[in-house]
Amino acid sequence: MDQIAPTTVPITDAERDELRRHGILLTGLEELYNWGRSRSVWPLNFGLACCAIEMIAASMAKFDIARFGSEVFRPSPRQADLLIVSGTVTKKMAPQVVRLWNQMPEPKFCIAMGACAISGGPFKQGYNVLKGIDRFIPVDIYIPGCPPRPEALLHGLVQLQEKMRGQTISGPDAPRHLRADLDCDCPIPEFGEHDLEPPQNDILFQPPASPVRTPKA
Amino acid sequence: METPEQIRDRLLARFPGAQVTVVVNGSPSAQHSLLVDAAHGREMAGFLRDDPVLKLDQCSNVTGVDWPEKEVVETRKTTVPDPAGGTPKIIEEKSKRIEPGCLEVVYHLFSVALRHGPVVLRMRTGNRTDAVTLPSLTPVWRSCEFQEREVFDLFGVKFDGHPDLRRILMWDAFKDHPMRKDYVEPDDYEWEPTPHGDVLAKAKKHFPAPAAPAAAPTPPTATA
Amino acid sequence: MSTEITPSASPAAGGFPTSGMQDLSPGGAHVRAVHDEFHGDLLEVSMGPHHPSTHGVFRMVVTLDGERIVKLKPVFGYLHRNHEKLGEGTSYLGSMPYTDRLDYLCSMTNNWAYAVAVEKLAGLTVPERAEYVRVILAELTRLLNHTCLAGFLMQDCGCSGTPLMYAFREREKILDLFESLSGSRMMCNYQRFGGCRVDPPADWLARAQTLVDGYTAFLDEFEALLTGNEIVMARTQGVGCMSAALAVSAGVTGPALRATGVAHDLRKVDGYGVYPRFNFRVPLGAHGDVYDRYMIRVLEMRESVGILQQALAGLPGGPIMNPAAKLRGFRPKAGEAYGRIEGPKGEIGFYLISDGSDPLEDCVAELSKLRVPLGIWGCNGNHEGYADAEDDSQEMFQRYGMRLLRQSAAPLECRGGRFGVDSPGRAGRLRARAPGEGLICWRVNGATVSLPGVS
Repeated sequence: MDQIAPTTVPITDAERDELRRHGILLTGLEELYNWGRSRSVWPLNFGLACCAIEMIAASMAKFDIARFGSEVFRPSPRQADLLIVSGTVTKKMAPQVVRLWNQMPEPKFCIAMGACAISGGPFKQGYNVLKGIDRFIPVDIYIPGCPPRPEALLHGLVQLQEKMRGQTISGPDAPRHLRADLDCDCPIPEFGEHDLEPPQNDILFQPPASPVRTPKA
Repeated sequence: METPEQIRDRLLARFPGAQVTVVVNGSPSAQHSLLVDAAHGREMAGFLRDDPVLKLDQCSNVTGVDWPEKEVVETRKTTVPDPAGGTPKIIEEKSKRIEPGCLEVVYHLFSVALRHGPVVLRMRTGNRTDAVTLPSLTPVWRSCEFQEREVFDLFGVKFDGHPDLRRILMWDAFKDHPMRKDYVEPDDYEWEPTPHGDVLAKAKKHFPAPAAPAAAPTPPTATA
Repeated sequence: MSTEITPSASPAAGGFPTSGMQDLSPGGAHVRAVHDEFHGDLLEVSMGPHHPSTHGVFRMVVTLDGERIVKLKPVFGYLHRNHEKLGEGTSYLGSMPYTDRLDYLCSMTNNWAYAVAVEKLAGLTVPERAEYVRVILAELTRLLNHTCLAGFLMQDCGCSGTPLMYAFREREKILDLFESLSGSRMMCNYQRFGGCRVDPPADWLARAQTLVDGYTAFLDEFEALLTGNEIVMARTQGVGCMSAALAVSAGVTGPALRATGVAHDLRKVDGYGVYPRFNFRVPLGAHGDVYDRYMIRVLEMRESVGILQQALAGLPGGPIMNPAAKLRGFRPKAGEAYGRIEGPKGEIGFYLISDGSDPLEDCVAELSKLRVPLGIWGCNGNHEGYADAEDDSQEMFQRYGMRLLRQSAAPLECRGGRFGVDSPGRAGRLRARAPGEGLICWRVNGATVSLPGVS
């Protein structure tokens, strides 16, 4: 299929507004596609621990996540777009989280909500605590906090929507679901004798190369 | 409610040949406990539950404790009289011995019917390696079922007579007993911005030594 | 005869996951039909650890006869965060934030239970005002918890969020109070050993009073929608019956135990804190079914409102913290204690064993073994000042035969030379010195050594 290079639209905003007043919307396919996707992100009904209560609070009347498009929390991963990992991911739970992630159809996104999902949080020294879900699945947005306020979750959701709106629908930077060459399956860790095997997904999880942060020049 | 000494005396009268000692609690809580031997543990537990004076029908808490082996240094002073009639000499002898460790299971028993408690029951294993079997009190109090499984999972105490002894918190293939004092965590380090102490030691092991600073140092770029 | 039913695998299509389709859960079979000679054909479903109900990660392998659960095998451990192991490596106060996260809806009562256990271990008393404040916060937590649980019950019955929304509306009001008092909505970390962290100001108490005054109206509205509701009654009455004997033997406590008819509420049985001063009843159920457990919670909420009215009216003045309770250098004697309170979900207890050690004292003991002719000297740091532990550290040094200088100096003579050891004042400034005394001085870990006659 030939790639048609995007051209600048030779029309001013004033003219665009005039057209809109007559009921004609002029936009690009990418913008329309991304607008539709980002304004209707349906999360998976997935709560692990304390952050889940704040996630539920964000979906309730005072904070109301529905006005951002996340009207329903789907119980089935087959129908969900967003996995909000809210709460501590233990090593016993980690394979199930990866399985759920694999079961979600593309396009899918992941928000690591709370310190535990980002890096293990206050329980980092635990023998059963996974030091961050980004060891096994790709995370798009990190929301720090213990627990983060519902407003913080909404801010993270808005950031995710901005990220989705910035995606191109063709070319090498297209998202995963529009690229036939990518395999979106994440390998599921097994229960080993002392730890999960493998303890992390080395393709996804790449910490910086030096043990101490070098100051910027 | 009876004092632990009174309960001990009644237990010894009812079960001759059993060993019951009162372990004095040094803290102001004054919750002294009864150390019972493993051979008579279950019978004595049944007695405590059914006795009309105590009626300890609720086992509220089952905990495991790991007492690692301790090196004890004892100093013995002996006075040796001087054969010449002078001042006697005081000779200090220091002897070291290893007190073997054990695993201990502590039961906190309450009475819902008579509204008293706690009576603290303890049982100790022979050592921390091979003699780790204790009688299960699940036939006496149903609440011990999950809690004894937890003690088995985290400490490694085997409960004889437990209907379903398997791991409860960790996965079945897990080999270690994490709450023991000598548990070694898997070597699993991730980057921290300000490592110090043993975290820094782990960091140096996982990351190669940083290269000599170049003329124009660039900050590391995060990948993926 | 049993048939295995496994979902058919979809054909692979560019990135669609096919691995692991046959084994969706670690136990193996996820849905299968089982033939039991006593019950006929049953269905075994593996539910969880991710499931549509709002009760956290928990796996159940249920055997169903139609809609009746015949057998249930629970699998735990999906949220095992090893608080005990973490507690071994931190100080007593350092474990307080972990207790917030045990039962994350009710952080105030978790804090209180841990504080009770440590106070028993160390023999600390709590001032009266702090006890009243603890009761107020615990009863607010009980209101919050029971409201949410009623909402979650309805959510799991299929009400799809409407009762939950009303419940969370009230929860938000209580969380506003918690946030303005302790700084955090959920993880309050508010109780301390020997009292509470912060004295509630008068306007906070006024807001609490307003909330409590308006709570009965909310309970009336909530109950009018739910308690007499035909569907709620059909779904919950006669379901999940538990006998009193089983409940006691299985160690069930709290509203679930009281729903079976056993009168066991630690606020009455143990009479901890200042609960004996308040006039309240303990509701008891008769059947031990889900409806009874729901009704117990509703009635307990009404009693909690009564306790809150009494506590807010009778709140005395005085300190909020026991002045003798030291936060820094807190070292209970060797021993153990089990402390428990009636949390909203039932008994919450902590069992602590102390070996009487203090890492700071161990360090001082090691230092005292040094053989130095002029003795060992030290001075306090600013942390001791903040924690009012200056007397304690001086006493500890004296016990080990060392000298601790507090805004004073000591002249030393050694091999014909004279010099002085100074300690800085709390502001870090050196005291004035007489002319001819040492002018060059440098800090050695907070203490200064001055040399005479050098300019």
